Amino acid sequence: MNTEINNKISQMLDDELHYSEQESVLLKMRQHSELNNKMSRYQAVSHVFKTDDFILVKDDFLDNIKQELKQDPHYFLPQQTVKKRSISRWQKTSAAVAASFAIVAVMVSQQTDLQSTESQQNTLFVAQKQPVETLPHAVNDAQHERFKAYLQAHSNDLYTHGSLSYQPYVRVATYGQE
Amino acid sequence: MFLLRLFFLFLLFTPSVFAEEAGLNAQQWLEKMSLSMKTLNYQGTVAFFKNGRLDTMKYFHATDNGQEQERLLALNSPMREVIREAGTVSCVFKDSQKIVVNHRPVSQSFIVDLPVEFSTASVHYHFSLSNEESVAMLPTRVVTIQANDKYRYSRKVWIDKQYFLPLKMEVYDLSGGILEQVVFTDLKVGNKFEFVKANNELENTSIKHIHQLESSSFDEADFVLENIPSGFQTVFFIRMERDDSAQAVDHLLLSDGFSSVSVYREAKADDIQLGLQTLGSVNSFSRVIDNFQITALGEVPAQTVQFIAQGVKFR
Repeated sequence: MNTEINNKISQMLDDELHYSEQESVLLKMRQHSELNNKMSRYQAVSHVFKTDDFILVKDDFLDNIKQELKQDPHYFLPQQTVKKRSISRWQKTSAAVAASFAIVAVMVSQQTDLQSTESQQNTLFVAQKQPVETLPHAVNDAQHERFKAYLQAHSNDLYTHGSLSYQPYVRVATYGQE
Repeated sequence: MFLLRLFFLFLLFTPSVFAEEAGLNAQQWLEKMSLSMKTLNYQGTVAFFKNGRLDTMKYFHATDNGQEQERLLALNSPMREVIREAGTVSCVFKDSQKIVVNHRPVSQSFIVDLPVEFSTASVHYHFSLSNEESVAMLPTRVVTIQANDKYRYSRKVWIDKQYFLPLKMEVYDLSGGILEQVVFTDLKVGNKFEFVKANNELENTSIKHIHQLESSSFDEADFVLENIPSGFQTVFFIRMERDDSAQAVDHLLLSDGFSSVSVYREAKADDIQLGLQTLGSVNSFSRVIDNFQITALGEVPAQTVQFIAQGVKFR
């Protein structure tokens, strides 16, 4: 019986035990604490075999965490009570004036947006380009020039690639594409 | 009698009928396309979709007494005009008023690279006829050029049924994704164009000539290639100059007809980017051997340039 349950624990750790049997093994482990400890030992041995390093964890490590969680204090925040207020005529008038101001503000801002679209696009374009700069300019340019010279000598591709004359190669380079 | 004449006229202006009836196979379609590309006068608008960027250009192909001139005019920035004729490719950058004249030992079309002998290329590519489709409102026959191994890319060409001109071309990566597309959006055949000169319109321009120093046999190179994928043959071996380098660069061009790979050897620089880099369908792999840097570059899969570069050995 012992050998059988030991085998099953080992199989469960290697993910080789069928789901239906896992449930019965877990039930037995709950009933017999020594089986629980056995599984911890098997797990440690398996970990050492697989990774060549081992961190010793105390037996009561999980229990300590449970205890800490139990002792964690609970905070009860008071519920906020909302008093009903009567809405006066003065308040209604101010709300209407505020709404009118809001509509005018939206219309003005839309016009301003249209006028500033071009400058915003320029800003975005610059902003997108910045993070790609990973190497000093001189190095980038030298690599770019070398790549251009190589491509120019290799084929006519350079002349049909409109973008190459403007972007250093490192900006458009990717890896691993087949 | 009138009906009979009309019938003959109809036959005369529909060579596609003959092509279909003759039952051309895929290789014959490609061979006819290669001939048409060199001998016909034609113009159109062509879109190059490479490396995620679309470049639309006006295209002109002129022939005169067996000489060819191919001309591209960019429709969008950067504005440029590129002219290819025997042994030279000239590029006029209109914004910067500069002209670059590249003197090359071989002349390749802007639209599609084709082998001289299709029967040799058929060892490494499988040619097959696919369905019929319309491109630029013209009926085409689709020819698939399937690579037989993982050292080269597969392609498809849409060939115009009337004049056998390539109206569309796609290059596929190893997983079947589209790497590059070249598509005509309109095409006119028949008008004869005058050959034009690159510096016709610009005044006070600076002209830069790129010369290859000497062309020689690859046996004279101080390096050898131990890894060459089957089918790749030496096209030329030359020594070239680079503006930003005092020392000459050795350049070896290999090709299997559809795909080509260049191998460069030059003195080691401090700023060299080693390893694999990619730009659209062009992959390059650089490594250092002693005091030299070796770069293999071409429109082939990454593993091909890496394989070739890693097989470079000094004699």
